[in-house]
Amino acid sequence: MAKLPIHWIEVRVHCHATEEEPRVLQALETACPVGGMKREILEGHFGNPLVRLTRRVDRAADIAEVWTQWTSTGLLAKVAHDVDARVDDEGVLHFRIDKQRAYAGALDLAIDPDTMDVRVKLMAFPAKPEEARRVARVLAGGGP
Amino acid sequence: MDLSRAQAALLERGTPAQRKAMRILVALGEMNGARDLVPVTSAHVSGASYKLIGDPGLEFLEDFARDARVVVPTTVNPLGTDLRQWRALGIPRSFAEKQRRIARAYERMGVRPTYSCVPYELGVRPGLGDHVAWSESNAVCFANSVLGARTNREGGPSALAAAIVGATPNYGLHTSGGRRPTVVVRVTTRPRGFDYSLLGLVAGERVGDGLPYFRGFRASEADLKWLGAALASSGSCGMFHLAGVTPEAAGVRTRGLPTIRVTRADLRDAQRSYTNGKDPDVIALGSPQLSSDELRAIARLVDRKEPRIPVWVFTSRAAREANPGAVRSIESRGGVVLADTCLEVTLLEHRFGTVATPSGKGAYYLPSLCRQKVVLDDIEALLERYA
Repeated sequence: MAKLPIHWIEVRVHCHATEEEPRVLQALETACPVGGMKREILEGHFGNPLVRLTRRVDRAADIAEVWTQWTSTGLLAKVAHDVDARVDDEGVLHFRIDKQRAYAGALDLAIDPDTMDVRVKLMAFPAKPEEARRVARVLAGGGP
Repeated sequence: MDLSRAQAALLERGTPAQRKAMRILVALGEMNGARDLVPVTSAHVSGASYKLIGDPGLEFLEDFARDARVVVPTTVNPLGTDLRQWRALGIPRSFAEKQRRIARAYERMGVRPTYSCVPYELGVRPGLGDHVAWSESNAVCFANSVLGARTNREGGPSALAAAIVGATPNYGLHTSGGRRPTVVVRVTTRPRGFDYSLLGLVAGERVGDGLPYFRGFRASEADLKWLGAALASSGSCGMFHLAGVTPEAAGVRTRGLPTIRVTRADLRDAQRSYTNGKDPDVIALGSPQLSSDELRAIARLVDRKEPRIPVWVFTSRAAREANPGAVRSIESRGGVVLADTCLEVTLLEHRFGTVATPSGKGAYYLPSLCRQKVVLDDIEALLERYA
């Protein structure tokens, strides 16, 4: 396998005023240990300060490292079950990771709203959503 | 979720692989509203082709295999190449070596080395109402629809987790409610042979993740194999009913369900829309792997008319070894009979650009998984045209 059919992976998390940013960063590191980091200072709906941390992975070797981690922790096994519904019309696979559990060192899909958002841009030829869904099925489920 | 004492013990005090498997199953169960884990009588695992799972999958399996052992009979999907013929196929050594490591990891876990997408043709035939945990979409569709066994459409890792624990979350197609049809598909033409693949493609596109109840035709088990394989490719279906044929069709209510009509013209449209190439480099037969009967039928066809382009036939190791005459016949006409691998998971792209196939599932996956253009047609028509 030359490389995984993924253009890039992006994991994004918000740090609220009530949270300690180093801890949120630690959760992000657990979810995505490699890639470039971007930090943005935003303002919430009520004027509250908000920091958005985004990790973006573009290099094939880094993508493989992240994917290996997500596979080995069983995270992708859970994504596989409804993977078709998780791919949007732009060919991006979406899922959310539980932020609190990630801080504790475990990766799991989020059920409550305290999440890290994951976006995975899939390589599909032609670049149509149905092609991307085929790729996502195989990537997450291990086969057609 | 209610866990039995033994399941709770596995979650808390099992080996690392057992704990990981339990965590996967519990999370899946909770996400899908399962009350408990239901014991399974067999598992079928996908995710054995190095081409598809790559180094991340290989590392996961080797790590898992250190202490993971399956506790129910478990079969596994095709590999990325035939490990007895890889040199002749021009497969890179590094690919074959990594493929061999994947096979070893599965075997270390106690998985039966079937490397087949048709476990139901290799004697693994769960009975009506048996709960199993199968991945591989065509096998799932066949088990639920034709055998009346009960399985969700598992991914490879969740099927493996179920094989290690011996149970799977009890929701969806494991429950009677989850097996009720959601749409009637009235077929107004009489399908034959290759038509079943086309019908599956058309119905899958229209039904999506619904559960179709077909009316209007009869079919053999072999026909239903091709129907289900295509249906589960273009749609997300894990099961269908066929009036008067499949075991659970008689007991379900269809009154009030929406109805879709499929005509002969729809089948021809599907054939056209899935054909995006011309002048194929190879005729490829498989996806799913051919049975012994199908292998012998192909041998008779190529005997009658020698093809001008190579014919690659994908079958199980058992069918290949049980039919030496058919294999000899195909290979003497320039064909190749490959075992332990299958059309869309094998490495084709290093040699070919356009594949001719009668498989609806193959036509669906070849462009994305193998970067191939496709000529979708009946095998007899293909041999006629390229002989």
